[in-house]
Amino acid sequence: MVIKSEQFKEIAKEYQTLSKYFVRATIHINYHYDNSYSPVYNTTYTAMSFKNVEKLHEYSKLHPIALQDLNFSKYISNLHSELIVKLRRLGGDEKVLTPIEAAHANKYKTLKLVPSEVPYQYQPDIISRPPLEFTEGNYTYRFLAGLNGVTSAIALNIISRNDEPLYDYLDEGFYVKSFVHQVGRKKIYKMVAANAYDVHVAHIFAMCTADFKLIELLQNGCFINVHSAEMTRLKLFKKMSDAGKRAYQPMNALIENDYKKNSTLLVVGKLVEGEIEKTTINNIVFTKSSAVYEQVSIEADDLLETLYADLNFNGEFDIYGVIAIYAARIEKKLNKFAPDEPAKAAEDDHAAAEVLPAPAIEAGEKTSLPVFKINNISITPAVSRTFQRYINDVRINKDEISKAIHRASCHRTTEDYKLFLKSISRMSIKWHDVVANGLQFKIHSTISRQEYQDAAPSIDAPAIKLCIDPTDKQFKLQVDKDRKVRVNLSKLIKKAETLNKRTDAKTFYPKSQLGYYRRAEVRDYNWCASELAGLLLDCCTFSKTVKNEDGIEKTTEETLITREDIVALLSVVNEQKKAIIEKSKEFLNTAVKLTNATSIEFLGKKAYHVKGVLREYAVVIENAKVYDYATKQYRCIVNDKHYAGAGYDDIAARLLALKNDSMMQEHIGTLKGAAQPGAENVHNYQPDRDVAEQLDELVSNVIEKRNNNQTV
Amino acid sequence: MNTSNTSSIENSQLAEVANNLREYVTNLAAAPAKYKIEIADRTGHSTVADLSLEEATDNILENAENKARWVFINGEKFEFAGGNFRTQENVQKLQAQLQAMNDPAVLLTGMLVGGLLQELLSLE
Repeated sequence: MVIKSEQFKEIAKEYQTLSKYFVRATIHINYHYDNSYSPVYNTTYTAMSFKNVEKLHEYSKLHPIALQDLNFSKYISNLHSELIVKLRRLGGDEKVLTPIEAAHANKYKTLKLVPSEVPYQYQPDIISRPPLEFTEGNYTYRFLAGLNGVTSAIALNIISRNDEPLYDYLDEGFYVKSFVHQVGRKKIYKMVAANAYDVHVAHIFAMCTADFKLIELLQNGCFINVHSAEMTRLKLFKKMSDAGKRAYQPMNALIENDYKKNSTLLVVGKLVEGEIEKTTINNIVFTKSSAVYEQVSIEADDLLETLYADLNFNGEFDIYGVIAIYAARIEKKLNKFAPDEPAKAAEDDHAAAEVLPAPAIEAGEKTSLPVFKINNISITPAVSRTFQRYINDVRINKDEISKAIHRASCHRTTEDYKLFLKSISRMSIKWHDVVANGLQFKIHSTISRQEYQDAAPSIDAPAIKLCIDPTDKQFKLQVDKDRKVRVNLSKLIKKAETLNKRTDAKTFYPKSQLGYYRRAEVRDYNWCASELAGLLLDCCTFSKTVKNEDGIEKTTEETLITREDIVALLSVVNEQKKAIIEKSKEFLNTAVKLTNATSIEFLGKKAYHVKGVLREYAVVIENAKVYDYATKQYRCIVNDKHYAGAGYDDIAARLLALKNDSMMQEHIGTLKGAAQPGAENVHNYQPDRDVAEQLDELVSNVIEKRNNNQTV
Repeated sequence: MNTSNTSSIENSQLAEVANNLREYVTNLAAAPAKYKIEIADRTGHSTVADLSLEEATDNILENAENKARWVFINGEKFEFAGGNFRTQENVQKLQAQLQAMNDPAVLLTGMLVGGLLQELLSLE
C-alpha cells in the first residue's frame, strides 16, 4: 500500500490518541476513492483488549465499539467474567436498544408518536430492556447495545458512568440517540436521551441532527424533557443556523405527516383504554369489542387488542381485512396447543377428512377458545386431545381454520354456516375452490415479470377444469363437454403449487440421465406448459393389479389420459390468446380512425399508410416494420423495454407516433433525417398476430421424452 | 266557449312541455362531462369509462408516470413539460385540453424508441 506522509501522519495521530486506552488491537487500514483520484484512508480497530472498564468507557467517548471487535478471551475476561457473560448476551437476543416500532406503543406509554415517514437516521432508539449495569471501583457503568445503522453489527452504542448526567436518563422506556460531528478526520460523539417520544421531541431530535451545536442547549447538554419539549423546540429553532434550517426543513414536513397519521392511532389507544366508547375508521364503527360495517360485523372480547398489534389503522383496510386478521390470530392460538405436531398430519387431512367418518367427540375432550361472533353467528374454535381442530364441533383441516372463520362473513344464519363447515369438513376449501374454479398454471404468454416473481399464478392465468364424476364419485379432468379423465387430485394440486413456484423465468441447466446439459434453459411459460403436460401424464397414471390365469397377481400401470386430451386441456392458453388479440384489434381500430390511416398493399404485404408532418409512412401489419412510403426504405423503430401491449397494440402505437412524427423526433431518434435501410433485419421481432398451433408438437415432445426415459 | 277552454288547456300543456325541455337542456349542459380512456396493456387493452375530469387526469398521470405510457388525445401527442408529470402547469394543460374537446378519445400506448442502428450511430 502506498500512502502519502501527511495522510499517514493523520492515521498515526489517531492511533496515538486511541492506543492510550486499549492494551492490544489489530488495525486495518483501508482506502476508497471518494469522487477524486486521491484515495481516502480509514482505519478499523478490531480484536481489542482493554485493561479495565474505565479504559473501555474512555475509548467509547472517542470511537464507537462493535461488540465483535472486542477480544473477550484476553484481559477483560480475566478481570470481569461476569461482565463478559453479560456483554455476550447484549450481542445476542438481549439488545437494549431497538428501533421504534408500532408494537412498542402497547408496552410503553412514553411512545406517543410512531414514526413511519421520518428516516431512521433522524429517529432515536427506544431503550427496550433495562440497561446492563456493572460496578468497577467507585463507579457504576451502564451499557446499551443496539444495531449499527451502517454496518448492521451489534454496537456498544452507549457506555455511561454514574458521574455523568446521561447516566440518570438511561432507563427502560426512554429514548436515546447518538450524534456524530466530523471535522476533518476528527469525529465528536454526543448522546441525547428523552423521557418520551412525541411530536415535539421528534422535532428536537431532527433539529439536533441538522445542527450539531444545538445539543449544548439541551438540559444538561444531553436530555430532552417531554414536559418542556415544546418550549425547548421553539428555543432551538431560534438558535438554529441557516444551514441547519435548510437541512431540517424536509424533516419538519415528514414529522408533521407522521403526526397526522398518528392521530388515528391515538384515538384507537383511547378506545383500548376505555376513554372513549366508539370511533369510526374507514367507515367501520369500532368499539373495544366489535367492528361493524353495514351488514358485516365481528364481536370478540379481545378484538381491539388483537387488531392493535396486527392492523395498520393508518392504512387502507376493510371489514373483511379486520375479520381476516382476527381469524389468523385464532389459527395461531390453536396451533399453540400442538406446537410439535408432525407436518404429515396436514398432508393426510384432505384424504382423511374425505374418507374417514368424523371421530366421536365427547364433552370435555376438547379445549375451547372463547366464543366470538361474526355476523351474529357464534363461533367456538377448539382443539382436541389429539390436536384435531374444530369449529362449532365440526372438524376442520388445521391449515384452513382462518379461512373457515373468515368465510363466516359471507353467511347470515348459523344453519348456513354450519352447512358450510360440514361441507369443508368432508372436502377441504382448497379442493372445493379447485373444483369450482379450475387449477391455474403460469402457462400464458402475457405473463408479467411480477407474476413470475410471485409463487402463485395471477387471476389472468389459464385454469384447467376439473369436476366430480357423480357416477363413480371420482375427481376428473374435464377435457371437453363429454370427455372426463380420472386424476389423482391430491398429487395434482401439490405438484401444481411446486410447478407454479418454480416458473420464475430464471435460467437452469436441464438434467439428463448422464448429467447436466451445458445449454441453459429458462423456466418460462413455455417450460411450464411442457412440465404441465408431463404432470398430467403422471397424475392420470394409476396402478392396476390383474390376476393371471395361473392366479399370480401382476401390477401394471395404466395411463388414462391421451395425447389429444392433453392438447385439448392446454388449449385454454390459445383461447385466452385469441381473446387478447381480438381485443387489441379494437384498440387498433380506434388508432386507425384517429390517425386517418388507410389500409394498403405495401411491398406485397398488408400495411397501413399514415401521413405524418415530416413524411408519409407505411407500417407493415405482419411484423410492425415502418417504411418511408415514398422511398420504400426501412426506418428503424422498435418497442421500448417498458413497452406494454399485446396483439396489434404495437401497430396502434406506431400509427399514433408517426402521425405526430415532428413531435416524436425527441423520443424516437430514427425519425430524424434519412431512413436506415441497413437495420431492416437487425431486430428479430415476432409479434403475436395469430394463435400458432404449437401445442401438438409440445405434447408430442413430452411424451417422446417420457417414453425414452422409461426405456432407459 | 268550449273551443277557447280546450285551446287554453293545450297551451298550458305545451308550456309545461317547453319548461320540461328547457330544464332538461339546462341539466344536460350543467352535467359534468364524462371521459373514457383506452389503455394498451397485456390483456389486449383495457378501457376506463365514465370518469370525471379529475379522475381522468389522475388516471392519465398515473399511467404516464408510473407505467411509462404515451398519451394521445384525439390522436395528438400530449407532451409533459419539464420532465415532471404532476406539476401544476402540466395538470392545468391536460385538463384544459380534455375540456376543450367534445368527447375526446384518449389513448395510452406503450413507448417506442429508435432502433439498434441509431444506438450504434450515437456511440460513434
